[in-house]
Amino acid sequence: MIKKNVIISLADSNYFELLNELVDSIKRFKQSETTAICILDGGLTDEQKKILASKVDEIKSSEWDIKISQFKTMGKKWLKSLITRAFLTEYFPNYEKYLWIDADAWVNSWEAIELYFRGCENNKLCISTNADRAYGGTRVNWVLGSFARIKSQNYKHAKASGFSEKIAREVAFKPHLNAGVFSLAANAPHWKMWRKNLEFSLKSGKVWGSDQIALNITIYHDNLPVEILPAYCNWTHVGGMKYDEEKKTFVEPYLPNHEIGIIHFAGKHNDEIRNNKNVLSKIECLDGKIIETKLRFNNE
Amino acid sequence: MKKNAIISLADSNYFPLLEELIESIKSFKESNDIAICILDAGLTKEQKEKLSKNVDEIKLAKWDIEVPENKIKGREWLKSQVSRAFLPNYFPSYDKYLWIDCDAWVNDWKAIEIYFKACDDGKLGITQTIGPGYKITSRVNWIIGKLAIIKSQNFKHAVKSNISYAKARKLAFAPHINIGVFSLEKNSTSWNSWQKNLEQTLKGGDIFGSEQLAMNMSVYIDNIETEFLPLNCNWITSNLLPKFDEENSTFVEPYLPNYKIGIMHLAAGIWKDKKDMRLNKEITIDIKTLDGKTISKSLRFNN
Repeated sequence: MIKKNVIISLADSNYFELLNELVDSIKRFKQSETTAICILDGGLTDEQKKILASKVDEIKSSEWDIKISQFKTMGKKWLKSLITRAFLTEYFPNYEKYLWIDADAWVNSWEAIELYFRGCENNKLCISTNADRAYGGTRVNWVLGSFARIKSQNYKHAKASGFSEKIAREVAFKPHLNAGVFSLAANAPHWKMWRKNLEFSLKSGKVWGSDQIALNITIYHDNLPVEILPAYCNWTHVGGMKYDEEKKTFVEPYLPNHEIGIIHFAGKHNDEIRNNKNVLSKIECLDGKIIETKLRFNNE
Repeated sequence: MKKNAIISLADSNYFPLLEELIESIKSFKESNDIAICILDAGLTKEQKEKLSKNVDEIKLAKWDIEVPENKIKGREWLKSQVSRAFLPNYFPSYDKYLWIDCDAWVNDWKAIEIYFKACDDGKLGITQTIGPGYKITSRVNWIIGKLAIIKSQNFKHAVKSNISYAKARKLAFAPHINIGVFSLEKNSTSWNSWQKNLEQTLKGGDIFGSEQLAMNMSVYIDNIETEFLPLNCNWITSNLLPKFDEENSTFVEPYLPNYKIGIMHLAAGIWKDKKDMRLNKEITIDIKTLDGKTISKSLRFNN
């Protein structure tokens, strides 16, 4: 069977377990049979690749698709993941629609996958934002009275990546687009624009965050079309989830408690969960009870 | 005996909108179990007579908190900014109250159900003005580099109302809460918090918006327990236009999965040729359909 759509992720040997869980979380859904899974190797061991090879369609070694000085990468090969995601069509050219999912995320509901593949039709970028009732507001440092120094993620990253003050201000208060999960069709114009912006940001600023700000600028400054999905399609507010004991699934904290689509352990506050599969987290159930449970995907 | 009530308020100018809101509610069979109560902020006798056949109670809105005449300037409809914080005083026979501004209408009964569920256990059921498709999370005037003067709606309003900077800053970047649709139980302690804050905002600032600022203070400063509902439970058309689902003949959210709009709210109006759709039912605007077509439609009920 020819598979038209592909889910792609990347890991080094440290993130192998997370990647393996992501793959298992995808494959437990029957619908995944018609979707390819492709892996970019950002420093996996031979043994790890062997385990993955039996589960996925293709594995390719990730390259530095944009040249970066060693001084900036400091030997951190996994930083490739921030660049290669803008070049997915080059690595795996045989597909029509591409869905990237960071290795530190896992699929809780197939509905999200369907939305991503549907959302990237008509050459739109399909992505979710943090503009949601469960997330907090912008960060600033107050100075005096109504004066404040703006510290929003988009503003900080735009400045750190060498974009002009004008562009940094333009994107400062736009809802942040998390590049950890997104979908794009093979022929979408975004790839080219994103790579151009990424090249600029890598030349001028830090590697970390460059992919994300380049993508935000592609949408908010270059005005390429976008389909914004609900926050539950890339849920990073892990501590804020609730658990539905009856249906045995993670849900949004507020009514109507929609099932979380993709759980994403992004950010420093999730370090412990990323680093230890067995860590127990306190989580509120729909009836108000607090339970302790693992939040990683259970593939045992 | 009806346990839950939907309440709204209008003066004679907004009477047609109020009528449409009531019609939209009554178009659902489930509304039979819900009382509809109206606060009269300047309706004519004929209008009240007409309404009385369709609703359970009509009461005259009062200035529940004393406001000096120089702030009112004859605008009796401003009572809506005060009286909605005192609903159990007007209509004491109910367990749960759902306020809906008269420039809103009900498109999907699920929204009503969710509001009445959200306010269980004393919580406030309300919607923030943030969600997929909202393009701006705040407003500032940039000065130099990263330095800016904060101009968010909550912050500006709080400062103008003589709320301390410490409190105003807590509100500055919190997603703004629109008070046009909310639910509360009769015995919720949130009424007290809101009324106390309202007294303060009315003393310090303008009447218009005072109840909204007061509620934002209750949620973000007093931390009253709140159930934040999805955007489609109070869809503010001036912030983001809906799409139209021709197959199901209904308004839906513009982004996937295109949830059906629950309550359509024409807050701040939809303006065309300097005319407000709220006051002119004939006005239509361009609306995208789910299949990408553009059609001309009114966002009023039953158009």
